[in-house]
Amino acid sequence: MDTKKHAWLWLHQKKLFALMLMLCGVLGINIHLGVLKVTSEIDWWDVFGEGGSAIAVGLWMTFILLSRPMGKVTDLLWCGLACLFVALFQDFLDEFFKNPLPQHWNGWIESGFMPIGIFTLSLGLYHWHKEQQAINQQLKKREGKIRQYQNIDQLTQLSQADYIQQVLDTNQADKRHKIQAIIMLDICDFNRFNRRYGFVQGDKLLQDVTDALLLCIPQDSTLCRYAADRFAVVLPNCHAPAAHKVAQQLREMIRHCCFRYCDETSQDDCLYIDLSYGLAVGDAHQKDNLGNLIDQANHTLRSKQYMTFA
Amino acid sequence: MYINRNQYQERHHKCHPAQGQVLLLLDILRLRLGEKPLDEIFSGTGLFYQDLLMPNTLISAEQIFKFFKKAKRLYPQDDLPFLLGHRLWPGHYSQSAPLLSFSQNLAQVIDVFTRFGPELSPLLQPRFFCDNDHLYVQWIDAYGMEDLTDFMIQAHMSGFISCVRHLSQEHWPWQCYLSHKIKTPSHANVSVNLGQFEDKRPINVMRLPIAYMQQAFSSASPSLFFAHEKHLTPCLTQPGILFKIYDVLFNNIDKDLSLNDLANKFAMSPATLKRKIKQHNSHYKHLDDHAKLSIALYLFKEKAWENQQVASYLQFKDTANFRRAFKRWCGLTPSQWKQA
Repeated sequence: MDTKKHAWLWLHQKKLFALMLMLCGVLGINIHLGVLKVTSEIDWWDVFGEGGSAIAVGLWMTFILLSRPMGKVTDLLWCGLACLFVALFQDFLDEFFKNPLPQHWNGWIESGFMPIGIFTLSLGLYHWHKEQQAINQQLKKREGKIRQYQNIDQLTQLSQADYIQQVLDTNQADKRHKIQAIIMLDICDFNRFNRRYGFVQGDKLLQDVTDALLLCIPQDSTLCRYAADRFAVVLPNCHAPAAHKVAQQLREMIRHCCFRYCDETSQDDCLYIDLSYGLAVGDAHQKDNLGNLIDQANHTLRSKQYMTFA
Repeated sequence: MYINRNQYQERHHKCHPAQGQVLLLLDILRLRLGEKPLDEIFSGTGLFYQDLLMPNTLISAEQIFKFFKKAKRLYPQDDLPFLLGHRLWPGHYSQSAPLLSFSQNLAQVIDVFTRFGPELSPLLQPRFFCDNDHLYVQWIDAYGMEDLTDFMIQAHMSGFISCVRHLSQEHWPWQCYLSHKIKTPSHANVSVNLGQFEDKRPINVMRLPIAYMQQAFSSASPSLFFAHEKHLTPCLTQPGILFKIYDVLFNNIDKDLSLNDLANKFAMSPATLKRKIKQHNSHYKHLDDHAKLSIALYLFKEKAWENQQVASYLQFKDTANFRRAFKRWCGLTPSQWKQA
């Protein structure tokens, strides 16, 4: 077996083993205590319905294990789903086995596991909510109020151009933000940097600049990668002078940053770069103004006259 | 003067050095896709990595297109054409590449491209044209690449701008006209890499004020240029067949060549020429229209000629005929186009 591909199976082997044991137990009890139904007694609609639900829950469990790192929240979510799975499995087996005994052992399995599962799952979801709040805090400057994984750029892990419009639109919908600004930042001579240091180093520079900018932008603003070496910062509730100040600060910070591109030959290869910026400020309540805010910012960047369009 | 079979290449001719654009694109893929196995990248393209590394391997335009299409599928991001474009020139894989680096100004770069176009830019070849105000660079599909055209246009335009920027070390105000539609998500990439652009235009052309032509490059080295040029043996001197046909049509625009005349110039029967053009996903009529359209647009926009002047220049019987033809070429009548 390809160990790299199926690493998650080994990571969670205890949980999976316990589930297998549980399912075997349920199956054993059914075979031991129940009586097999004849074909005419089986309701195939129920078989498909309940079997299908069990399979769906099984898929959810797989996604949980595949997509989340190990931890308490993952365990809670998974165990909750596992209990549901066992309950549904029993429900499914009921379609094939009759219960000749007066005790409702099959009902007990079903209605015992179901509430435990629901409770555990709810607990897990609560903790997941808590966890998500913590993660949102970490991602705040990257994604603002919207999450759209399709837009994420693989290189810098920032959102791409079409995301900016969404951010502008949501800011506009928010009554508290009267005015918003967008800054376009361009790395000076990135073309020459690429040709001189190579495109691998160029990619690395983009990643480093991303990290530096994330540190320095204001708390409530959002950073996106517009295209190539151009970044966009959306500043809600920000007037032109304040936006200029932010842009100047970012530029100063990047100019003083020392980017290291060491090769084997030179020990100290410290490199300084510069940014050029263009910005535009839009009144959030004038809708027509908003669509071309990005174009305006690009235009000011291109003309290199650092002036604003109110 | 006949044009014989040694003066152009067809899409299945194995005449392109394998080290060119294919390996360039391969390295971009390997950089972006991480540790994807080579055989997975090459599967279905009929190419093999070991063959491509050999110094004398030649491949056909068709094989290059196949690989490019595969690359687009493997890395379907909007920035792929620009990643390729920025690496195209001066480049290292063609003999004439150093000439670009040693050029004194844009005029000399254009001279190099005109003389060594098939080697420097075999698939999409530039045609240059100057008047008193502007330099125009029109990009001609030399082998009929169909759905790859948009990708290649973006790559070549951004590549040419990037190369000139590298040599001049300045941003120059290029204006790009693209024939295809730029979808909203890729808008950002196109505007950053091409600067000013307009999409859904009738032809693919770039424009620059003529004053920049003579601006000196700091990397210029006339002696090295001369020395290198003297011993240059380009590995590919013939353009693609569609470029050659376009060239003939363009240079004889005032003679209104028919398919028969054209076939005569190529020393083959009209049926053979028709078949050859069809193999390259085009038609005689389409090529003829495209050449006439390019001229008509130029005369309208840049020279402000009247319909009647243009119609008679392009050998139309009357203006009404010309108006109808123009509408067929780009969907608008001449007067509508002038207003737009």
